[in-house]
Amino acid sequence: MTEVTEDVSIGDAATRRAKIKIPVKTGHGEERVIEAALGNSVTVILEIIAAERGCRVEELILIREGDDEPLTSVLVIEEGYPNKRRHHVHRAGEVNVTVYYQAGEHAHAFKRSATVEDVLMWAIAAFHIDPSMATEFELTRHDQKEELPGTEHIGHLAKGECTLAFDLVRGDIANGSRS
Amino acid sequence: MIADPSATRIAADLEEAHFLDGCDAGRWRIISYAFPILDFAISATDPDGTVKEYGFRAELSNFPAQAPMVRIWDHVQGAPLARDLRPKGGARVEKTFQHWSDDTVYRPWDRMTGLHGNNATNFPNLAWRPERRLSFIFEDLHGILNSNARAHRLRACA
Repeated sequence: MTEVTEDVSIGDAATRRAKIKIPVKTGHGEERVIEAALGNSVTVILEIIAAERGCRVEELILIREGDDEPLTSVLVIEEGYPNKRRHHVHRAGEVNVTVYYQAGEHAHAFKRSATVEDVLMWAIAAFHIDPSMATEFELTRHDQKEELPGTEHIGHLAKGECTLAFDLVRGDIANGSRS
Repeated sequence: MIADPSATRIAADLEEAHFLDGCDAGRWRIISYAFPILDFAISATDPDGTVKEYGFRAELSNFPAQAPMVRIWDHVQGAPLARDLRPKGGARVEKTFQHWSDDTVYRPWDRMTGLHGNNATNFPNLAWRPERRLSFIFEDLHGILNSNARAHRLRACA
């Protein structure tokens, strides 16, 4: 059920508009909750972010977790809107991703809502790695060690840039265990 | 009454957007929570592509200063999952859920594993740090438990 709060700051009952809280991810590690009034287009979220960033709304896209396509201004927030689902704000356009493995590299353009797992799957195929070894590989940012969550959108990792570089690495296995 | 700061922090982590997103997407779910014990399940893909879930028990006293201690758990038996029922797959899967002396999940962020064989020092990128959220370990376990799906999908496309 949609959790609704009421904006009582206006004072005039006729102009009170119920609001809902929507979780919005705007970057790697950047999460927030945005309140939007029922009856507004969902792209009101983009208007808020665009104003903060000093860019045009058309330069941004809004996509719900698990969806393939961005939301458009025709979608109105109404009672029952799936506001618990995380919404992602990305810059418009694709990201040109380069993946390095040993002495080789391959590049490919991905939607900003593509996940690290999507890129990993493509990279394993591009480097002709045996499927039986696929479970052992991960992606890290180029020249870094930290493994990246498979569900992270590459648009958040790229931030405002149009390019992104990863290393394809064997995932770390802790040492010294005793079976 | 003064709330235990560990319990307060755990409650906040269980309300974190990323954590809730994993619940909504079916990647993991909470079975029960009574501080400091958190019982949960993580969805998994077996080597044959079968989707299932595995149970876990986390002991979270002095969280987050002290690392979580997590065991793969049989919630019906109330005991660590029998060895022959543990996840199968590649080397990382087998090693993570192997039986060892402390029998916790063998990942450097685990309280016992981090201390064992200097794992926390050797793998700082996977070691526990107080600024990490609980979603970090859920995400790590989910990634390993579903690495079989990657191999399965690649074979299907070949």
